[in-house]
Amino acid sequence: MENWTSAKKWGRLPRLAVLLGVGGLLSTWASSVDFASPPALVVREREDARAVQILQRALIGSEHNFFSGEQTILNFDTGDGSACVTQETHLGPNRFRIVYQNPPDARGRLQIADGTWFQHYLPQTNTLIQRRITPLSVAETNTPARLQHIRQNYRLNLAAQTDNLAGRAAYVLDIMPRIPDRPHQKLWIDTETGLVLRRETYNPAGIQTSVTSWRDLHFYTAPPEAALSWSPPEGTRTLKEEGEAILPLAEARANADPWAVVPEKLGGSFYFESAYLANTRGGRCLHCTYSDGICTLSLMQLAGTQSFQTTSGTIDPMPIASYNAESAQITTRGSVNILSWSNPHRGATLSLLGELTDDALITMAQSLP
Amino acid sequence: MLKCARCVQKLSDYMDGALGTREATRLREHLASCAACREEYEALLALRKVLHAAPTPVVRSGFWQHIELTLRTHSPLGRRVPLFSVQRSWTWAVAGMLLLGTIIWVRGVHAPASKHEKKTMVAQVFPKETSGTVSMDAIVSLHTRMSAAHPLADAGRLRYLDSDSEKADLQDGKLDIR
Repeated sequence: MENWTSAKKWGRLPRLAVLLGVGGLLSTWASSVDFASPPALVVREREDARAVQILQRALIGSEHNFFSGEQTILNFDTGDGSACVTQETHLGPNRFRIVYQNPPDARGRLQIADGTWFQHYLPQTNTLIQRRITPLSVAETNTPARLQHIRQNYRLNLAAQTDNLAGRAAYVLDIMPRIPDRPHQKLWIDTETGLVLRRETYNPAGIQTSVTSWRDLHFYTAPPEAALSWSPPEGTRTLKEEGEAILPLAEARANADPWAVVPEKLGGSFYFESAYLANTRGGRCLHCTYSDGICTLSLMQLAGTQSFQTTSGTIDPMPIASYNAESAQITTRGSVNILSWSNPHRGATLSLLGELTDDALITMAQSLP
Repeated sequence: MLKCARCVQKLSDYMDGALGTREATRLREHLASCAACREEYEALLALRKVLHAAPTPVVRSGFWQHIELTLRTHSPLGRRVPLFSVQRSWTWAVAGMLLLGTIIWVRGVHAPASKHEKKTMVAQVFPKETSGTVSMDAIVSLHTRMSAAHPLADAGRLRYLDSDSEKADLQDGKLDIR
């Protein structure tokens, strides 16, 4: 009897082992699948040529449409997420009016740019910040060059020939980074005007981080100039900033202080676009912008050893000893990651800002002289 | 047929006579047909010859006795210490402190910090001898403002972040970066 029970037990063991194995495999699969995240986008390489034409249309359309509408911006990158709703009128390059309706703490904020001055009104403090607009360099507005740059760094695919979005026909374009350290975007491009009607952004892990979309769109044939005129309320405190000129590479290098460096490219795929000399309470600041065609990266260099203060965001102190950094930290503001470190040998404090992974920013920092 | 990489890997064993008959035969066949591997084999043979020709060092008298004595004196096996003893109390104390330190560090790293604590962290991370203080909101504002102006940028999202950052930067009625 004892032998029989023991034999039965041993006979059951392989079955039990198989069941446990299957159970283990199922749980491993279930834990690897993120059920909350949207399904992966379908990539079709053969439609690349058509996708390039559509993106070109969007590049031109982003600057040459006169329109007004309501924009909704949903951010999922912060803990609980946030929703922002704005009423906007766009009348060409550096000419727009944006009125914030949501969230409640931003309600009534106003941003107006008339091509010469940018005004930012904050009703909560009754403050108006005025800045002279510094136009972008020729390189930044050169559509064929930008398109080529985008194609070097991203795979363009037409995810759908047309889709209907709030009564408008749109091409659905997938912009997948060739280096998976930056966001992946999906754009709905208006077939008629080239305007980006909707944009979904996914982080390198494939998790959706934001959606921006337009509704109640109205296109103008002639710009309604009255939309850009505005007078601040009585008693408004005004801060006027003249601003400095935007510098191309050669001029940026010629004007840079000895503690600053102006590399032509960062991380192999981000090329220098422009530099801007700003002033801070602590002294001078050189701000260089780099782009891979879609993503922008900022390299901020401040004289001396500066410490940073923040009223929001998360600071994650991290020692990086593998290059000339005495100390470094990673900060996150919305979707922007900021790596800051001091370089005592050059007597400067540097920051890299962009929608890139921490590791990508660290690699770029390490490549700096 | 044996591949070259595998052959080179096996050469040393072959020379030591550590290969089985079938494997040794395959290796010999490969050496007969492959000039590169044969060259490698000959180089190893030459090296072995040089090493064999080298003079053997003469050990002075009493050398091995000295080694044995040293091992006996310093070996932990020679005198076993009980797990819980006065001699081991220091080891336990250090281990306990390390464990406590690890727990505190892990809690400190992963626990959500308050705004005040975050500011303190900045002061710890950057050296005390700083020449100034810059608002993080100011540099985020500058970055997002410039980025939003690029064609195809997610301008709405960037301008909203700029607006929020600029509002945060305007703490005492002044902007940090102008």
